[in-house]
Amino acid sequence: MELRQPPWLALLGGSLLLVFLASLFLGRSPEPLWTHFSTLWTEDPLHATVTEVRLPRLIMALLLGAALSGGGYVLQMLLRNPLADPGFLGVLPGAAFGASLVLAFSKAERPLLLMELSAALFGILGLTLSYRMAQRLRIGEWSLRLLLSGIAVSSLFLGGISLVNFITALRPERPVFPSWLLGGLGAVGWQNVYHAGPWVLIPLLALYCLRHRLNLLLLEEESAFSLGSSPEYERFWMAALAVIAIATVTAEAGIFFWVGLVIPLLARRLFGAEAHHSFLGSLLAGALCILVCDDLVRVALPLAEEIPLGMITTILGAIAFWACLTNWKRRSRS
Amino acid sequence: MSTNYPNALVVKDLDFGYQRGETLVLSGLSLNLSGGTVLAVVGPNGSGKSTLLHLLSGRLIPWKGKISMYGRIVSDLESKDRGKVVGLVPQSESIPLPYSVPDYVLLGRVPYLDYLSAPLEEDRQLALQCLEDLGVPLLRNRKLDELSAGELRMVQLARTMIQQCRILLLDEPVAHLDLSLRTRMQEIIRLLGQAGKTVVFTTQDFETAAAAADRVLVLGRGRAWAEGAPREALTGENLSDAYGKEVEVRWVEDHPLVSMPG
Repeated sequence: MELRQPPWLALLGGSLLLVFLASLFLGRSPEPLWTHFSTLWTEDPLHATVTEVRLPRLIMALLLGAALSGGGYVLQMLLRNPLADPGFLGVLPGAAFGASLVLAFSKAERPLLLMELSAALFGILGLTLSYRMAQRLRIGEWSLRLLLSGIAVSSLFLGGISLVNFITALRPERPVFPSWLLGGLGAVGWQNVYHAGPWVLIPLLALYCLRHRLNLLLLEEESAFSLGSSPEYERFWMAALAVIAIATVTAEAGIFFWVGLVIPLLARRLFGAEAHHSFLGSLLAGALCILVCDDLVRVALPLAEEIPLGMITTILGAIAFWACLTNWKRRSRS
Repeated sequence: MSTNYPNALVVKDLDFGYQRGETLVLSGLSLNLSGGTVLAVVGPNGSGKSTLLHLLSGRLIPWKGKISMYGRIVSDLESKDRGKVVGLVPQSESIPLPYSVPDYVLLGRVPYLDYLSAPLEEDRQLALQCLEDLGVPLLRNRKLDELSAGELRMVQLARTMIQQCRILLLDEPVAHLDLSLRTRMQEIIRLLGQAGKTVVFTTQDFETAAAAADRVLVLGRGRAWAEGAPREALTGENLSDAYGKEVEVRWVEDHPLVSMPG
């Protein structure tokens, strides 16, 4: 099944818009589920809940989903490996480590910009380490080596995050900070959206404009070169753009495994391997997925406290990945 | 067209090695091909055949000497112009995603597109036409990961042909092909030459070199041992020099029978 035509993309975009609008009125306070639409134009105290709490959170959900799935899509193409995930390539753990480092040792209360910058630097460092290490490994083929070195680098940074958390916890004056390891959107406000917006939207827009080059970079070095590309140079800059978008949302919301792997896989299944339609499909599907999962977290589970969004995406992502892989095998066997 | 263009591809005193201080992979190599010439490069494994193609494509920079194509120095070409002058079909290429065949072939149009733009409908028509010309029109409905080695070769060739460049470099075009596909590939290479393309291909198959090429270059142990018409270049003496072992060549009509006694 392949839905190549733009109408299907429009349908995906339309459902995203609908779910977004519906989510504005969906929540657990004051009463569970629906808030009445009239709250938006009355003096109702709920007005503030919708515009000051839910709206920024939902926008951040869109940014988060688009950045993870769009960035994951791009990294898979650039690294010539459809099983690459920013979470297991050292990008997400590196970014979270960078952000946690700033939060732990900065004098300012919430140095958002500095956190994002540090996240981007460590995200790029994580990716570079994974890539370089994979080139030096002496076992297996390229995609396996990249996977192995990515896991090692990711584990290094995850350990680093725990260490920073541990050290900070010993100091009484520091507030306990968000769990980077299982991301969530509970603490997001307008300030986060203002800070993250440009760093997510500009790179993603640039990558969208460059999506045809992605097809070229999927070829092996010598072919891409003979078609008039400078593959190393282009790969580096496009990877940097992807990592900036991913690192920014990680600094704001924490680590989300699987999203950047499963959604691009799904988008390619639906819209074809070629990047012309499937990149946009991946962006929209990622945003929709995070939005729906966040709704689940906010409303569906009747628990006293909200569970982290990262928990849901990790569980669903692992199941979806497993389903994709088994399905994949069946297809190639037939 | 450019059939009679003299000095279409000129290589002068070329030296190249992968690491300084180690022995050169190629040394003192010179060539001069006129437009529409088909050159086969033969020689043992590791003799620098593929390296020569990558030098010609501009990806590797020679240590010494220069390469010019239709009057222009290869290393001075702008990246986009390079894609219009010389095209390369690599020995093997793995594409990790199931691209459709037309989408893959269309990548050959990249040198003609603006940096941010998608291929047009006319480019797509060109790609489909090219598959038809190569005698594989039905591949248009297939995915890359379903193709056999021979079909993949044809599709790669189609991608390079719609680059519409005057010089084509083919790395082992007949490796792993069965007898009928090999014959077909030989015919295609000959036709490309007749259409005015300057073709350089590497091969381990002397039969293909004799059947498809106007000229043959014998490489071995870091240098060129002979360059000339197939009958002049493919001699026992030249091949013995190149392989460093005794090689016997017997010509039966236009077919070289090559063997290594002992």
